[in-house]
Amino acid sequence: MNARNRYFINILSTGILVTFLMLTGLFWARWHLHLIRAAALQETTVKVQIRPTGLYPFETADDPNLVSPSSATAEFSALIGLFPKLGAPHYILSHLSSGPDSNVYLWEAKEEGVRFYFNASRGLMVYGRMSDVRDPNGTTHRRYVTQWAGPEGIAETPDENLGRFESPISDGFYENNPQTVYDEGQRRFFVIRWRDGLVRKGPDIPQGEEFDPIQLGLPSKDFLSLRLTQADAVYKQPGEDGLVPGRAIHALYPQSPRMDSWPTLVLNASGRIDLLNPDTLTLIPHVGCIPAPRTLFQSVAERAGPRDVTAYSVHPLAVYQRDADKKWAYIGCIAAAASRDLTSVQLTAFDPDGNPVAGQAMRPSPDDIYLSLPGASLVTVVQFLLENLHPTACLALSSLTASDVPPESAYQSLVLLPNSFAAMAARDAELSRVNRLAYSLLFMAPAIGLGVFLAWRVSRDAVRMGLSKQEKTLWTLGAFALGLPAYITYRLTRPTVALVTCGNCGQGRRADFEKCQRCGAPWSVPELMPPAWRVLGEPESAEDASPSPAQEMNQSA
Amino acid sequence: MLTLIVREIRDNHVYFVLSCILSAVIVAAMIIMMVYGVNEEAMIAVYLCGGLQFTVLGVLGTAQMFGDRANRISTLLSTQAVTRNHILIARILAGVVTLLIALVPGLVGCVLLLRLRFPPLDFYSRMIGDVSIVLALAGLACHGAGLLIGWTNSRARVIAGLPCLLLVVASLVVIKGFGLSAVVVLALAIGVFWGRTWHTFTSASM
Repeated sequence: MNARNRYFINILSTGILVTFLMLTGLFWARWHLHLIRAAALQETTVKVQIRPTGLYPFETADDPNLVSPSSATAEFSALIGLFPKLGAPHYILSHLSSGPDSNVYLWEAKEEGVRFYFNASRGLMVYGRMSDVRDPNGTTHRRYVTQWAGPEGIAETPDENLGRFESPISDGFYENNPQTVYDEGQRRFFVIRWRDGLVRKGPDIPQGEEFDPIQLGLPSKDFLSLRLTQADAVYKQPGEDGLVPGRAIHALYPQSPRMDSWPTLVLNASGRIDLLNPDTLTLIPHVGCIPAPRTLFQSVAERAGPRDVTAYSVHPLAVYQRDADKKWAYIGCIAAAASRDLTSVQLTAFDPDGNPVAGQAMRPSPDDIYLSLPGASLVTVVQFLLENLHPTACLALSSLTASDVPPESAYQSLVLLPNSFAAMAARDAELSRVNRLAYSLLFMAPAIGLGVFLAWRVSRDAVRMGLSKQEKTLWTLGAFALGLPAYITYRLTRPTVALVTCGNCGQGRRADFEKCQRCGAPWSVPELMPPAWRVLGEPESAEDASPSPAQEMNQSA
Repeated sequence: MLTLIVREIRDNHVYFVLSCILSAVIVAAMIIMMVYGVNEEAMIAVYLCGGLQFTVLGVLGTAQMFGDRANRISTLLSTQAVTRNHILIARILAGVVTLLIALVPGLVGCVLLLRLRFPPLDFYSRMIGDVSIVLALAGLACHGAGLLIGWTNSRARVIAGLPCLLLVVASLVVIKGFGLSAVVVLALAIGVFWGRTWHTFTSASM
C-alpha cells in the first residue's frame, strides 16, 4: 500500500473516531440537560385537566344535584419519558407484548394463560384461552381452546379457507369486546367476534391519502410519559345521601369502558381521527384530531400528526340512551399530546362533529420551562452552547430535516438534532420559508462563527506546513463544515516535520521540500570551492619548507 | 496463521479462561430461569456477567498490544516469515474466538429460554437475531478498542483510555438500540478501530 493510501486511511479512521467520541459526549451532555429540565418540571404540576369536559349532554353547570362535574386529565411525566426513548430501551419496550411494534397483543406465560397474537407466517389472528366446551352428550368441561381467524372466518385449526390478513392493524385485546382489524392490503375493516365464531367484513375504503389508518381503538403513543384519564360526573342520588357516579335523574349516563360497543376510533397518518361505524364498518370522518401542543417557537397550530409529537393519547366517550334509542351513542373524544421536546402538553375535548369544545395547555408554558423556572435560563444557555459545538453541517441538516425526522430520533441520534433551537425555529409553521431559514441561521450563528474561525486556523496552518493547494482547500472546507472534529483530526494527522528558517523569506519552511512552501525559494546551497588559504602551524612550517601545491601551480604558471 | 492464533491464545489464556467462566455463569443463570422461572437474581447475574464479558474482550485486546509493545513480540516475530499484517489479523481472529466463547453459549440459552417462555413466532426469532448481531458487533468493537488503546508504553494511557472507549461503545448500543442503525454505527466503529490500529501498528518502528 502506498503512502498516500496510508495517509488517507489514517485521516479517515482518526476523523471518524474523533467524531464518534465528540458526538457521543455531546449527546450525553444534551441528554442530561433534558433530564435536568425534566426534573425541574416534575417539581411543578404536570397535570392538565378539563373540567367539565362539556361533552355530556345532560351535564349543566346549574344542576343542583351535580356534586362534581366530569373531567379529563392528562398526566405527564417528562422524567419517566426520557429513559424509554433511548434506543435500547425503546427497542425492547416496543417489541414486548402489546408494544407498538409487536404482533403479540397478550401473552400470559403460564400454561393455561390467554394468548392473543397475529401469526404473520399464516396471516391469521390467534386467540387461545381456557374455555367451557360442551360435548355431544351434553356435558361441559374446561379445556384450552385456540381459535384462528382470517378475513373469511374463524376455525379451531389454521386453514387456507380462512384467507390471510396481509398487514393488519388491530385495536388490541379487550376481553369482552369484539376485535376490530383494519387490513392495509385489503383496505377494509373486519370485526372478529371470537366467542360467536364470526368475522364481519366491511366495505372497501376508497384509495387515497385521506384515509390512512395507523391505529385503532384507543390510539396512543408512549403511554409511560402521557396518561389520559377520564372521570364521570357525580350526582346526588334522589332520596339518598350517597353519591353515585353519572346516574340519578338523567336518562343518559356515561359508559363503562368494558361494555360491548365501545366506540372504535381510527387514527390516520395525518393526525385526523375518524370514528368507525360499528354497524356498517364504514368511517365517519373527522371526529377529532391530535392537538398540536404549543412549543417555544410555535404558538398556534390546528393539529399535529403522530410524527410531530412525542406522545399522544385519545379516548372516546359514549353514553347510553336509556329512554330514546336504547343504545350507546358516541358523544365525543378527548385527546392529549406532548410536544417533541417534552415541554408542553395540550389536552382538547372534541364533540361528535370534531369541533373542539374545551382545551387546556400545560402550565408552566414552554417559555417558562426554557426561561423562567429556577435555573432554566442557565440550562438553556448551556444547551445552546453545546448545540453550537456540533459541526455546522449537523445543525444545517437538522434544520433542513426538522419536520421529517420523528421525535424519538432526538433521543437516538448522534448526528441530527431535531430538538435543537435551530431545528425548532425551522419547524415554525407560522413563519414563511425565508424567515424560518433566517431564524434557523441565527441560532446556528455561533457554530458558523466557530467553523469560520477553525477554517481560518487550519488554512493558516496548512500554508505554514506546506500542504498542497488542493489539500489546503479540502481541510479548510472540512473544518468549516465539520467544525471541531475536523480541526482535531487535522491537528492529529498533519505532517509532523520540524520547520527551518528560510534564508529568503525568513519564515519557517519544510526541510523535506526542495522549495520554500511560502516564497518558493530553493535551498541556498553554497558552492563548494576549496579555499586558497591555509592555516599553517609553526611546527608544520619548520618541518616542511617545500612549497604548497597551490604555490607550485602558481610558479609553474 | 493458525500457529499465530494459537500463540495469541496461549499468551493470553487468562482472558480466555475468564471468558469461559463468565459464559458458564450465564448459562447456569439461564438454566435456573428455565427451571424456576425468570427471577431477579438470575437476571442480575446475566447482566453483570454479560457486561464483564465485553470488558474482558476490551482488556484482551489491550493485553495483546500492550504485551507486544513491552516485550517486543512483533519485532521478534518479524524475523520469521510473518508480516505485521499477519500478526494483527491473528490478534483480531483470537478476539473473534473469544467473542464466540462469550456469545454462543449465552445465545443458545437465550433461544431455549424464549422458546419456553415466549410465543414461538418469527417475530421473536428476528428479535434474537437483531440483538445477537448488535452484541457480536459490540464485542468486536470492544476488542478493537482494546487493540487501539493497547499500542502504547504508557500504563496511564491504557488505564484512562480503555474505560473511556468501552463506555463509548456501550453508549452506542444504548443510544442506537438493536436495529439497523446500531449495526451500521458499530460496523463503522469497528472499521475505525481496526483501521487506526493497523496504521499505528504497521507504521511503528521495530
